[in-house]
Amino acid sequence: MKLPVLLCAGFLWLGAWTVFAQDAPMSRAAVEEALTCQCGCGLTVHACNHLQCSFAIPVREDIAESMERGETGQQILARYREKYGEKVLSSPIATGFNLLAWVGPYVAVGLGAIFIVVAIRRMARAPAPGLPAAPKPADLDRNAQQRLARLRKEMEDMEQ
Amino acid sequence: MIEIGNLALYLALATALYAVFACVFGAQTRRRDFVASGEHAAYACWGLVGIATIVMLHALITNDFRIKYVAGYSSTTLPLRYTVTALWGGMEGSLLFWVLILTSFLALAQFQNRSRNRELMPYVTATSATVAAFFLSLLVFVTPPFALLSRPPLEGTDLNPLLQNYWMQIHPPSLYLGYVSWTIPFGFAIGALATGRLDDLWIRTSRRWCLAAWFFLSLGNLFGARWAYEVLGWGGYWAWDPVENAAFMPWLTGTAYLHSVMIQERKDMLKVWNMTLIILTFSLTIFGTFLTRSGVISSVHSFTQSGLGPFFLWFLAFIISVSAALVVWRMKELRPRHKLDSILSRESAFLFNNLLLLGIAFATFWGTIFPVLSEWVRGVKITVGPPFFNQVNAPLGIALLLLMGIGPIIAWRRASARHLVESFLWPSLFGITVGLVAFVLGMRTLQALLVTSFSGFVLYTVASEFHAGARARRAMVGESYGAALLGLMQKNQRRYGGYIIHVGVVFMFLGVTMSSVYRVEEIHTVERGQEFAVGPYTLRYDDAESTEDAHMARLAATLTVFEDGKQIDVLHPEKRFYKRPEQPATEVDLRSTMRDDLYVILGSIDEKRTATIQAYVNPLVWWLWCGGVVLVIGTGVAVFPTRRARVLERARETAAERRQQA
Repeated sequence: MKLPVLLCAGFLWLGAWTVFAQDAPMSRAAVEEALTCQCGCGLTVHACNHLQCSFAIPVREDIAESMERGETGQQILARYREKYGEKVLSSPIATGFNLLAWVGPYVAVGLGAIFIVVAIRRMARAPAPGLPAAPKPADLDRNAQQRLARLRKEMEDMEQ
Repeated sequence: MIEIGNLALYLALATALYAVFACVFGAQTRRRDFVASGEHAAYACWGLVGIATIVMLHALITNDFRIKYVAGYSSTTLPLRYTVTALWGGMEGSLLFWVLILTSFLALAQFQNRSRNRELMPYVTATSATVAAFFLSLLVFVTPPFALLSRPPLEGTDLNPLLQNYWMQIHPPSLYLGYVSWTIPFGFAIGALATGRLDDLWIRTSRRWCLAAWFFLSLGNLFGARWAYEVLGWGGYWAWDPVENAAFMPWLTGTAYLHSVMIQERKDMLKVWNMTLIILTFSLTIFGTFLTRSGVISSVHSFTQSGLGPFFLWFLAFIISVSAALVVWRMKELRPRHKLDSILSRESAFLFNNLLLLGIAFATFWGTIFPVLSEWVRGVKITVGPPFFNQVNAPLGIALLLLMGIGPIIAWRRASARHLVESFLWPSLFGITVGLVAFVLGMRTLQALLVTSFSGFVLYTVASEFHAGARARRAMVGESYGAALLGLMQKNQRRYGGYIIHVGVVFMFLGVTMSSVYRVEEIHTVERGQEFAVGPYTLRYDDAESTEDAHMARLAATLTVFEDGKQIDVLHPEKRFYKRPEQPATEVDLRSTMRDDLYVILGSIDEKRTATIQAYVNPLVWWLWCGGVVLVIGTGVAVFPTRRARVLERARETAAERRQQA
């Protein structure tokens, strides 16, 4: 069961990483990317290409000034969230119900991976459906064993 | 003419419904005359939809503003090429265009299979005709394309300026071809479930259709990205907009299907999984249509929003219910005859490839619908934008890139330790070396390093597969190396076509990653003669010029581009002002090279001709489009009908028929 456990841990780590990455220090561009422009362009404040945009331009200036004053990216985002609501953020905040958005895909992929590993292992252990069990090597005489070994090697070579 | 268009649509609906009834009744009661009659009805439906489309095109070209659709999406000043594209510029026209493609494909599938697959074909016709009947019902009862205005205007409103672009002439048709083509393989799957012919016949028969659907969907996505790059003018090409996601999801599940069918063909396994994938892919094409047209999720691409959402949702529920019921009904017969032997095998690599593709599809779906879920559950509106999709999908995408290298060289059934070392040592060393070289050259971002390293790994595996195959063939046949390479591809088109597609996808990965991670941007307000630097380039703003015609006014800046003090190009970004509807639009100009794209947007010019210019340097983005071209070549190699392929296919079909008779 080592592989399923490893897979489980790996995908949990990925899920946790996506959640905790949001607390990491943010660059100015990252803060701009984390805010959605409210001019109707559907892009982030960073990407909005309306050069006279009444939202993106003042927000970019505010972000630059705030960061120069020492405000962190998270503090700036919190301020905008308070003013405009959650919809101003370009991705869901990783708390409460929104956690589902972040970890959902990894949980699904992780469960899928575990399912595949367990299913293949079970299949590998079980005899092929509809076929009689293969004779154990001990039941075969020396010549038959040699033939079987040669056959296996040839099949392996052929498939490679 | 208008009456003819309306009548054609009514009759088309009637013939589609009759085709469904006649084919199902004929197949169930083994009445060949009914099946033939149903198929003839499907041909008639195609002809009638063709007539309706011709009437609509005629109305657009002759500016018949009595028709609401023509008045809403065309004008007397609209150039002819855009007048034709207005056919898919609005809701009713795009639905009509959709049905035209669908009925054309059905007619083609019927003609191709006029003397073979006779057991499956009635259900293929019935399934496709059901889908056509749904779209025709919308056109007849909900959004009639030939609806008349009580007071026709003297001039039309014109096509949305954003759609007046070359890429918009080819992007929607490619996307629609991709979406609609999946109906035929879906029809074959339903036919296999209904008849119990659950061997790989339906997969082999629909293989070219699947590849064509995947190919057009790939092109549709790429053309759309190129359109966004050139027209939306924000320096990027993919914004994870719901409508973009809608086209991306069936591409992902379709890619998963194209890989997993290989296991069914080779090992007679994963039958339920393949059925699920084809049903899912087709359902996602309908879901995409729902997203584009329902307006349930806001999108910058929704040029055809309407209240059709509930109809699409009901139809989607119908498709999923019927398909799921058929799969459950046939579950016993869908059980595998063989088993997988080891996790270290090509079969497992394919399964993990499927898992990752579906994982990305699920993450995309989840992010797309999460705002709706949040509003339902919490009553709070939220946005799920590019940062979410990039962060969640990037690790899955990178893992998928790695699997692209592992899949082709790991052994079928079970890979021994010796085989693993022999096969993976050199590709891994090459990949690590490429990563190290990139690091030494200054690449420090983990994502970029991983993608570079894995790309090296994949390219090495593909190259070594070609080389080993050509060398073996040369030794056996005594051909030249070049002839051996060509012979190799001819002998196993699907395999080597697939490898070429992998190379194209690697190029795309590199283009997307580098242009996202290492993009440089500058915004400057400059006077004539003034210069500014962006990345390795220096731009000098020379002058601005304005021109005007009946359709639009143009304001273009002239920028001379220098690199290392030498003039290398002159760019002319434009600002356009369309007259009907009065709307400004950006026309970017770019200088594209293999190393990077210099992408320039004209923001504004004041009365003193002072200009605000936004410039980006997007590294390696050329490789994204180049990857698209390689993908086209690879698909061509995989599906090109050679004599050898035809003979082999015929032999397989005969063998399958004999097995069935026995």
